[in-house]
Amino acid sequence: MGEPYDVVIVGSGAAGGMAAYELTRRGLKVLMLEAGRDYDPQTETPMMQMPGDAPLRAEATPDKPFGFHDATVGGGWTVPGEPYTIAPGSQPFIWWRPRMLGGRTNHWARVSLRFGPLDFKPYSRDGLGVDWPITYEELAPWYDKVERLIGVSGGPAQGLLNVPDSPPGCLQPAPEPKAYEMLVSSAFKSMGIPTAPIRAAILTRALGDRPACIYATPCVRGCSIKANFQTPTVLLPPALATGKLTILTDAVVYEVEVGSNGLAKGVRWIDRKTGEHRGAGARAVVLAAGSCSSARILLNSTSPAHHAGIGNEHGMVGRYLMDSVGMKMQAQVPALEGMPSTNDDGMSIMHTYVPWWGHERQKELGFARGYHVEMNGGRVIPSLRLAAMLDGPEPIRGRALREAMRRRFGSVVTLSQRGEMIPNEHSYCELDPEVKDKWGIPVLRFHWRWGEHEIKQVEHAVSTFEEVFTRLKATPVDPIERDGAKAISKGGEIIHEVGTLRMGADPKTSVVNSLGQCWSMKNLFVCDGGVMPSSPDKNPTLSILALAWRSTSHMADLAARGELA
Amino acid sequence: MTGPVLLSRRTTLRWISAFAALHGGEAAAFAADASPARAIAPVKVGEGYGLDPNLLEPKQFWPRILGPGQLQVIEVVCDFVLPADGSGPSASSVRVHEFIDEWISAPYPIQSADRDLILKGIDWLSAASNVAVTGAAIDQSRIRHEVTRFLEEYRDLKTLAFYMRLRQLIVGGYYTSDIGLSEMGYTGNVPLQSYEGASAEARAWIAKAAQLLGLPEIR
Repeated sequence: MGEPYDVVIVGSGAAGGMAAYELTRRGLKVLMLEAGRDYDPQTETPMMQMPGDAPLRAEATPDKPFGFHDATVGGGWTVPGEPYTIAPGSQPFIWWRPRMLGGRTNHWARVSLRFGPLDFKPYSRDGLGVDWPITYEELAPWYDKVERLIGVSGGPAQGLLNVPDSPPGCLQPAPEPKAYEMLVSSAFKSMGIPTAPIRAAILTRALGDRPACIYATPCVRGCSIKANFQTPTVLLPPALATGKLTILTDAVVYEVEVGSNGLAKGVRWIDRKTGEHRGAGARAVVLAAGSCSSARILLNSTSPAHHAGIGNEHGMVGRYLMDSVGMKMQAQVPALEGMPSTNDDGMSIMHTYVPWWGHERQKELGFARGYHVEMNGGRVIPSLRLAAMLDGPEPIRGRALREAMRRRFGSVVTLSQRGEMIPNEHSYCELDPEVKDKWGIPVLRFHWRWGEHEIKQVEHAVSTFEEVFTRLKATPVDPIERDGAKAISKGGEIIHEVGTLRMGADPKTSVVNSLGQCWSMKNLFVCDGGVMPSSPDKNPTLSILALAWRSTSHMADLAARGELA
Repeated sequence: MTGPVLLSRRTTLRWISAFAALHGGEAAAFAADASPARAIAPVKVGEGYGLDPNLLEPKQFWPRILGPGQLQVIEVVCDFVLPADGSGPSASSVRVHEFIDEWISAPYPIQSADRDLILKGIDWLSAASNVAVTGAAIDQSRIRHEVTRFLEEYRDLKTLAFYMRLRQLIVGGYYTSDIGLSEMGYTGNVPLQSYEGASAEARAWIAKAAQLLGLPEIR
């Protein structure tokens, strides 16, 4: 295996890809271990395929829960032989895991919002949760670098509270709004709520050897022309080009190995194809497997010196698991019927969103924190369900049916809430005392409970969306569920799980320091969403990239000074 | 009179009772509340496509289960819902009936539930139309004629769960085909050098819609 390596990185998603990019660029010899198979978006992405090119018109199935053309390989809500369990009495929790190079960066929506200054100091504002040990100003230069490197569209500056504007030169221009977005935005505006261009890791201008988006074919399939961000097309190629990176796929890491000096000396992993257990040595270890998988590795890394797992001296590993608050409402908008011909594909996700507007009204709202609103609609390729919505309840047929479908096409709008969850004692993961995976490694058992702030936040979003649709004279597709506890998403459903290995200023109440360095093992770093002490409404990937770059830059500094291990 | 003859309630009841005699008296319940009428023989289905199928060149993953007569019934329903007319081809010419066969032959839960419902529906519809859909002597043209006549004359299609679900799949199948999408007005999935936003006509139209709704002006 070409040992010794300077650093072994566990995982090849946003955090692992960023770590490999920075560490190899700084001259370190890196081994990356990915639990899934090798994957090449340039040859495997079903660009431009239509529903008729796929089984079942590409509809979702248990094998492909986001539809046949979704990029996810080898997993989904379940991974054969790699179960997880839910504790008795827990609210539902589901866990999305691909098994492929690049991990979840291959299929994510590409929404790339910076956390704002208020997001880093939530406890100071409302006494709930904890503050981050860093400020927005400390992370801002890393956001700048990430936006320039991966390409984020969404400019120009908007000047909205807690929605940081990027310095000139960071953001590419936002695309024009889609037709239906103009009408929906007008309804929000009538309620005093501003909308803004979405920030997306999708190019609207060429960047290096990557062309701009062609405004066709959904980003969740991945992108063979490299116009959106996924690590196999954007971060891993330059890392490999340094000659310093070795990537091993189908390598399932389960334990951090500790040397006689008390430091990490590498990891233990299983070859998925042969079942063979192997070791990989390095001077330092980066965990970037995803919040829950990284927590599981640490919990399984037991020894006399770490009887509860590495970093778990104070029982903090796995604690304060969070996900985004989710709820969606769909309505058919007669005012959009019969619009002149227009191409709404755009960059496949919305071009316009609604940043949280209630920062200065939190007390009167009755819940802490907030949410942003994502909108979807327009004349896009319908699913069978969307076709049924357009069709309406009466079994019309023939010319009447054709006329109705033409008229209503593009008139269904979906509003989705993405909100902040406050960390709580009842939401965490631990090792299941009984259940093991197919290789005999203990699996995670999840405990989940939404708090009262999240429930009230959902109820606020329901009434807001209802008001928007009323102003649009729209008809909700499904009966409106006003009970927030019933309308809220399942834990994990939004696939933004963060917070199991929180960073902090106090070793007793956190697992890593503000640079992702494990308090109890200085050459072990965590770079994924596990380090987040809070889960702002903004989708986490851009922040994971910025934090990972900052942490691994520090690692490279330590290595340069001979202080890495 | 050359148009379809509307069936009297008495005729409908006669058909249902004839079917009931044939199938143990449950057809009326099936027709009335759309619940499944009777068990059908277990159908062997294939495997799914798994967690890592070839997305670029997917093969046919599972065998089709419908026999020629059953497929003919589905084809008739397809063209009852969407016959060829001046604005589009028939659903069957876009091979929507084959999509239905693929759908109900799939091993997944939603498709399995649909399989149960639609196979029973084919049974019921063929019996009510007095045509055979299995066995050696299948008369395709008679199936087409009689099932079409039944559908045109039956007054309570909306109460038939199998018809409503089948119709939903037919509409979905047609409007997710390239022809259906184009007919509906979809102009996307073409590479563009830049995205210019809504067309000028659409922009003006949206501005007018906002005005009619009493919403803030869109410029």
